[in-house]
Amino acid sequence: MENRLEIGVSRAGRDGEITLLVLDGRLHMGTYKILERTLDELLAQDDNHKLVLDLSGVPFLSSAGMRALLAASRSAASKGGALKLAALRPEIGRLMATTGLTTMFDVHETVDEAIASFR
Amino acid sequence: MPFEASYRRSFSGGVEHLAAIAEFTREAVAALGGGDDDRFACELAVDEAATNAFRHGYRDDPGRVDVRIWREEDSIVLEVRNWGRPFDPAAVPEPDLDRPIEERPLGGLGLFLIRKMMTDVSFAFDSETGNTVTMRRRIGQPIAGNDRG
Repeated sequence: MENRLEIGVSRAGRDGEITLLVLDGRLHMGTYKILERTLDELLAQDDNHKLVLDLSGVPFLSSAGMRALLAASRSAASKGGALKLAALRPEIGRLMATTGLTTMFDVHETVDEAIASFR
Repeated sequence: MPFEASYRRSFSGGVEHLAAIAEFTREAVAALGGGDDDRFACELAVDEAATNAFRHGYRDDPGRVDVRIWREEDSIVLEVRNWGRPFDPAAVPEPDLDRPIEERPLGGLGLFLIRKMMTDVSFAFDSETGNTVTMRRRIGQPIAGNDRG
């Protein structure tokens, strides 16, 4: 069994001003660099500071993954944008809520809600 | 007799084994009678302990991590062992979740998550038998059940 994380990137929002990342795989120390690299490349561009991460395909999230998400969230905020999490699986949502980690992120039930929250 | 088995596997290398470690943990916990929450909590705790071993114990050099999982009465016990640098949990501060997001330090989350997922956690250091983190979870305990006081 190999560490695997795939990320699909597309434009969303009324004017395509939002970048949607659809994650598929487990997010931990063995895979977080894949996400980190993708987010770093996006955030280095001028028009990619409003990010929505669709986490419906992420069944596992460890502290390494959370740190990567936090770092990207800070980076997006420092450039006047934001990183929002959407469609967390119930166990991931519960983990984040019961450990107080939801307060660290802007979390939305659905991708559409996350996109709409930028308006 | 059920529940008498001890599941044990050695992993030599680094974090490339985390997916295999998770699969091994899930299967062992299920075989020992753990439910969905137990599998999730144990998978996370073992991942964090193994990550600590690979990253901090061996400082990203290849090393050996042993995982052993067994059942004791109403609990599942997870043991993660390495022979790298000793790890002092007292040196890791708990993350301050009340601070604003931009001021929060990024370290300490792994140990924090382990303690939230488990009923109790202990650490032992021995130059021959290795550095061992032993984590016990009462079966059926809610996720983050330590919050109950």
